[in-house]
Amino acid sequence: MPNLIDIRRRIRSVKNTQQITKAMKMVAAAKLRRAQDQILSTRPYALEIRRVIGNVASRGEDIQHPLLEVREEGRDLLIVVSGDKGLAGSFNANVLRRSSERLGESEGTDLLLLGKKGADFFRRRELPTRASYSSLFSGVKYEDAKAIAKDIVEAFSRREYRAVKVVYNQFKSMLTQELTEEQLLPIQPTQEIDDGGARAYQFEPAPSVVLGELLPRYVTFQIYRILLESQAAEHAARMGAMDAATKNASEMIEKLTLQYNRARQAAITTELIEVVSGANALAG
Amino acid sequence: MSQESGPKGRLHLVLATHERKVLDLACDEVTLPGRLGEFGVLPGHMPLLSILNVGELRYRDGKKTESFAVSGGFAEIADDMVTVLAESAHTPSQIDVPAAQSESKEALAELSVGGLDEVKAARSKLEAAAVRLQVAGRSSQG
Repeated sequence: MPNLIDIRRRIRSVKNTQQITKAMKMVAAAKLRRAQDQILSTRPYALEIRRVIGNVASRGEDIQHPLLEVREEGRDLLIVVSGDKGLAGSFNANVLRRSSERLGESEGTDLLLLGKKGADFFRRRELPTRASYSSLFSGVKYEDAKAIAKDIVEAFSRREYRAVKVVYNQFKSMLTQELTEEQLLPIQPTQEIDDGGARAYQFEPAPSVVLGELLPRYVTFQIYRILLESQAAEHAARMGAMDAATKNASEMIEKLTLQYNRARQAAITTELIEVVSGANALAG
Repeated sequence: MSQESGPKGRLHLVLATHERKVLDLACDEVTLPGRLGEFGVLPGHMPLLSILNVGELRYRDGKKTESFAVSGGFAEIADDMVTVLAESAHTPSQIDVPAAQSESKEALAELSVGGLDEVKAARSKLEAAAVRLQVAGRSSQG
């Protein structure tokens, strides 16, 4: 029979843990709301830039730009978007597993790691890493996306890579995140063409110059969007994980309390028997 | 989308940054800081895609004119719909004049030292600050 004091101690410790998980859940919920707002406020820009690029790209085959160039040979760059912190369920594990799979499939892939978890995970494996960024996710900033995009766009324009792909968690809803793989470069115009249809634009300055400014900006915006998605997905995942942990703690407390009461009753019964049999002995 | 362009057609102006939609309204005339010089847009303008300089965006609605300092953007004009996407957009009241002044001083100092890249960066910083000051000045006059 477990000791009463031991059980009481365990109940107290589980309760403390529960308070922490509950607090983390609430913090994640608040941050999630902010992250969601941030995503929503990029929507108008996202729609417009996509429409404009689709319009330009659908003007014909004559458009050429290094960022649209499909290449046969060269190394690939895989951008892995993880979080900076753990305790978010399978959020980090999913991304890292999928990236490892991709790395196993093809040789000649460099990594670009966004988020501390990914950096820690791949550092131990000593894989070719172009760069790693951490502490992006305490509030995603456009400037960060700009710096990352600049590096990638320059490297791709120098023909260092054949393609640039991203693995990240996409925010679907409060309850679901979807592991997503996207090709960032070369930009695939067919993807972007909306029903807007082609329009005979006048370009100012020349089309190639306009495209030269538009496309890098588009890449920057894509990275910004992906960072925001991942940020929201991370908070949602953490919220879910902490909610489950809080529930588990409640169950555990219930079980322990039951055990505690049983032990207490058993102790009382034993004591009673002792008293009664003692009295009986005297009487007898 | 754009309004029906009747006899008295109006322009529909949308100004958005990556952070938010700044403007979404109907107006009579838009003036944009194009790469090849400032240009005005009236209803019935031909379809145009232009890169914008750091500069001042103005729109006129009746007799009222409003200014914005925009940077890093481009504009699409089609079917009396003017779409401006920019990296930043500030109204005169949002501009921090002392900060812009000190920034422009800083940039001036940076211009005299450093290599080509630094000079380029300093120049664009100076331009941005100058435009913000110009737009801010407009509101105090009006």
